[in-house]
Amino acid sequence: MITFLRKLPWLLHRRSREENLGQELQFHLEEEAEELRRSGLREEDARWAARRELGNLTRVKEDAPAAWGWPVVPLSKPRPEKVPTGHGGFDSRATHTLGIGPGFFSTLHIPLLAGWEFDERDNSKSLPVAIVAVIEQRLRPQIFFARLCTGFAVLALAIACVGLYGTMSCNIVRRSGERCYGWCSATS
Amino acid sequence: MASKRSSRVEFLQGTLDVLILRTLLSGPQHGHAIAKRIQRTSEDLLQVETGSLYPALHRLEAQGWVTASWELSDKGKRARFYRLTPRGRKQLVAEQSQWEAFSRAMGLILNPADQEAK
Repeated sequence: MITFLRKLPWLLHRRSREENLGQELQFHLEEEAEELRRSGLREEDARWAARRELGNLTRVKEDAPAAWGWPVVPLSKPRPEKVPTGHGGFDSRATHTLGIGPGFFSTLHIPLLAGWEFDERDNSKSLPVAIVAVIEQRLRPQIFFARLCTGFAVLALAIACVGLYGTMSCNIVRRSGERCYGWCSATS
Repeated sequence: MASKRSSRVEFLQGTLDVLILRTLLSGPQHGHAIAKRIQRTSEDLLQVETGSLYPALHRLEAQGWVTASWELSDKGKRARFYRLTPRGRKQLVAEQSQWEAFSRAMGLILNPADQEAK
């Protein structure tokens, strides 16, 4: 439950988080390029080298939700010699080329439902592989628990209202000197 | 450069968190500075990949171990600075003692001669 509550604000502010990450990566790119310029590279070379050093910006942005607790899972299993591309058995909406480092999932403590951990064989020249977020499936227990909690909270609120109403009316009865037929059997 | 790269060591699982938290102990820093500080302090042995750094920073933020805010860098550019929270400090102390214990255990196993000499 605590984990879910921690994830929730990130989900609610997803758009701003993504914008933040985009600006952050842009800043990183500029800083890297400036550092390379200072080391003697030409403007254009420095930019290119910084870009290469940073890797695939889009990929980092796409991977960021994993850091917020949303799992990302490679579909194919086990590691094939040749990975089909496009519609060859994989979800084409989520087909990417690899651009993240070895041990990515274990570093981020992301449990793999299927597929394999990235290692030295996975690089920018590797064949495309499908990575799919299975948010809804993984969140089902948390969603159920949240709904259950909401139900209990509403029930508790209703009981509290009844109790408060009872206490108030009892006090009024006491002050006005009428006989109370409620649970407290207060008399004047 | 190539030999330097090849001599770089792989991160062990969970190492990056400790490295980031320890780097932030000296004060708030942005992502690029954190990466460079780790690289410099480890004498170029450790290089934090961007693909790991930013997800890790955002994860630490989600866990409440660091906070982030947009501020101006020393060059006047807008950057996202990360700060260690009291919870992050506690986590660092816990993780650091674990690492020291692990390191001592490894030392005892890898250098049994030292122990025997004693």
